[in-house]
Amino acid sequence: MKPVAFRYHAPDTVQAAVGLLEEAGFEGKVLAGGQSLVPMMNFRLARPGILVDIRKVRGLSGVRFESGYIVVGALTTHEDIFLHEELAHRLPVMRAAAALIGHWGIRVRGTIGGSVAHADPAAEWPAVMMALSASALVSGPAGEREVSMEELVAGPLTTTLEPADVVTALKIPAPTAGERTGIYEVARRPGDFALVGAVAKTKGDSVRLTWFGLGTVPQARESDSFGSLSEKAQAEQLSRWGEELEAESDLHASATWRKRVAAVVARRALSAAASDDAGLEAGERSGLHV
Amino acid sequence: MSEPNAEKIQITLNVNGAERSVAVEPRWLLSDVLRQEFGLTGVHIGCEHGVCGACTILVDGVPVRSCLQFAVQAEGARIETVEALGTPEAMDPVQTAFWEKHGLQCGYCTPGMVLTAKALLDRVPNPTEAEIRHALSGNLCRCTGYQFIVEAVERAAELRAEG
Repeated sequence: MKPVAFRYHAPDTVQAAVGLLEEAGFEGKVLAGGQSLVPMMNFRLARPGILVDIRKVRGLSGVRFESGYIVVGALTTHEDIFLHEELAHRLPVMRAAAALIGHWGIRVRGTIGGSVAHADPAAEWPAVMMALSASALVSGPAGEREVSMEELVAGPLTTTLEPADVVTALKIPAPTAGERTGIYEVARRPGDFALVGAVAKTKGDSVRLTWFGLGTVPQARESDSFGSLSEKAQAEQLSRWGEELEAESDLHASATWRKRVAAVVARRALSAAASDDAGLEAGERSGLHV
Repeated sequence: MSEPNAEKIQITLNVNGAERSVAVEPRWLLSDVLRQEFGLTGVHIGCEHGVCGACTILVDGVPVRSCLQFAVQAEGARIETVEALGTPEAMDPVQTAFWEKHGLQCGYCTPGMVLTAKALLDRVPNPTEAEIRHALSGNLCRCTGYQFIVEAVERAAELRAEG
């Protein structure tokens, strides 16, 4: 339950971090909040030889509102996001999602960039970012580039990031008029990883659902006419989608259970999208205004 | 826990009000350094992967899992462990309340519970039961069933209000 020995660097610029990672090659690993990486290192499931701690890099934390985009710095913690009033006002699903993540002691350290780069299939941020058509701003040896979430997430705990790449921010298109997003998840305890979760984005009759916690990566389905269907036809559509999804069995739930619950969770995510707080109050949250 | 020839890094941090300096291997967890280098055995180690909350300490006033950060990352930080709170003769109101309300049995989770409760009350002096449960949701107790712990935090709020 102790990590193996490693060399530690704490650079204060992105360029220096990329340089150190380039030198380290496949031995290197970025450390941000450490709330997923450190447990894996304690279990020795991860054994990086060189750790590049980016917490001292300036300018990677905080939320910027740009023309047409919301840019969330990679080191912004779940708690920062949860407490951000203007972000909650402009994009309520960010607060609702942050409220579902971990517990107080985890939320104040864990970061959105770390969550996305870790790509846990049951994590909220990769699915929320995918649902919002966000992209990651990535700095690497060749400079900065933008990588869509679909392109970034390659599999469970696997991304297309190169060893010397650092995620510096998430770039989210600002919601257009009439667009609504909500989230709902089922977990064994508030703050635990979701057994099944869904993010719903709606505009008029069109609906896009992004599920997480079922398969190896977030999975999406969409329909342009969902809102015009009868209640019965909508329920049938959600059940069909749930059946279609790739789902895994584990200690906590079978694949069959997950597929059935996927339809229920989707319906609740749609209700969350219709509510003003994107599902914050309806959810089994661990987040608290303190 | 030391390895021969392992590179060590000198760090300076404030531990329970005193400036302390120590040489640490990068791989040493903050929880282990507090216990083994500073003798602060009130930092209880449970799961060592962030699930149980027993090793909760306050870093710059915020409750965090000391098993999920490396000591080398605590350079310049202000650390509070349960040892900072009170003495058997002059307990902190949170400790008094846990004692009065039987908010513990085996005591293993207690330092983490007490520190999380203190951080909550520092921010929300008069929390609702739901707020208490949210705040403590990351700290596992296998003895009490939580009811007396929640009551203890409510009592601690009263004691602090009485000053």
